[in-house]
Amino acid sequence: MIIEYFFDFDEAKQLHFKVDLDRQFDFKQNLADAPEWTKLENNQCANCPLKKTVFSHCPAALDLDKVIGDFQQIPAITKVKVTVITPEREYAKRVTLEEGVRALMGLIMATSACPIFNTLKPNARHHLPFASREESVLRSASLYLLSQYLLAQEGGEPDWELKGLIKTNEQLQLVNHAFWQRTMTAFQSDANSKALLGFFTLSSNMSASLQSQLVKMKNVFYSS
Amino acid sequence: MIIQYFFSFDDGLDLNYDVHVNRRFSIHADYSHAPEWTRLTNNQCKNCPLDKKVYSHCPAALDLDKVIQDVQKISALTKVNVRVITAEREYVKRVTLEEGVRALMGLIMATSACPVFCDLKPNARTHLPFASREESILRLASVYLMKQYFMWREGGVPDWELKGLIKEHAELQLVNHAFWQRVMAAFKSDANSKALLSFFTVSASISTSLDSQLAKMKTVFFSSVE
Repeated sequence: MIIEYFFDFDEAKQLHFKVDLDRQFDFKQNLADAPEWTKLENNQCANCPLKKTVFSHCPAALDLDKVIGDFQQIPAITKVKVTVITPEREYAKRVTLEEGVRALMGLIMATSACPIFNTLKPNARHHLPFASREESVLRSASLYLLSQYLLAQEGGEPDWELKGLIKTNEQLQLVNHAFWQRTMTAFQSDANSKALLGFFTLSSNMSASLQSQLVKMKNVFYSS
Repeated sequence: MIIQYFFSFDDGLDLNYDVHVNRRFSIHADYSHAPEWTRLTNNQCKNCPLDKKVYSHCPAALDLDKVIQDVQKISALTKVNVRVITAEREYVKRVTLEEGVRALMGLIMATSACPVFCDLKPNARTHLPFASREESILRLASVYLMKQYFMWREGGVPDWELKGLIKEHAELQLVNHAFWQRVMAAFKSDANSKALLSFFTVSASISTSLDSQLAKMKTVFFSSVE
């Protein structure tokens, strides 16, 4: 499944990205020319399970490198029209570059070969660009519950209390933070770092206060 | 919350609709000019819980009347560009009129005052136009589980086995079928009837085979393990 992103800037500049959700990491690729900031040990995440002997570079950083390079000279608050094309439909919004980059980066990271970001893969299959806080939290929690249902159907022990989701977000929080540091040291770039910081905030909220985040959304279900 | 639908036909015809997701129904409004087909007793659903003495007209039919009248003369296969604007974003697709009308009708019915369609209200809040079969079922099941979670947190008894969801769709199946008959009797209209018929198909397949429908979606969650 391929998802395309188009960024149309007011001064007629256009940037185009294609994300293949099912791409596989190529262990044999020649990474001699890969930029310094993508090396695995450069600000490696505290909870990174990858072996340095197998992975010389961070797979998520390699995937993001092209995107980050394209955006680093443009201020985060630049207005841009972003169009996202999936097999099912087209999504569009006029947003700040920060918000547009966040949607694209989220998709790239969730489908990268990083074993921590990988927990977000089901969400990427049902990618919702420009998701609000409410939409993000609600989607994560409800998809997690559905995965627990399927687990129970196969005889497993379901986690209805969302404990696993909180744990996953603790892990994501560490990765999002380290990843933000990694890009900051390399670029100090506005739109990229702000977008990454947005992920850190979301995963922090979800690991620290998922319960109260969800309580706020009860009206979605009981408003009638 | 307002969701706007814009239908732009190739021949220049534009049709626009504003759907107020939180609108209220008034039983005291004057329905004397409402069309015959919207009367509650006209092909009333078998499981309709509304009292004829209080409701003279079917609230879902009243809400759908304008759309049905607007598109009744247009072939279901007509291609049309549909734009849906919500508070969060814009959705666009070039579809057959049938598919466009289905998205709009689904939203209108789920937010109407019909007590059976009301089960779908949480889904309307996170409306996804032009949803594929997989997307529809995934959303229905996951949103239902979320509702169970809230119930459980408040001390209620949750239904983790989705039994209630199957029951809801058995009810919806009756309503969708009766509703289709109601519209057919009045209009014999192509795009409308095809769109309504597909709701019947979805609710029928959920009430009869939810488990196997969901089993097909395991790959969404466990593909990385394989």
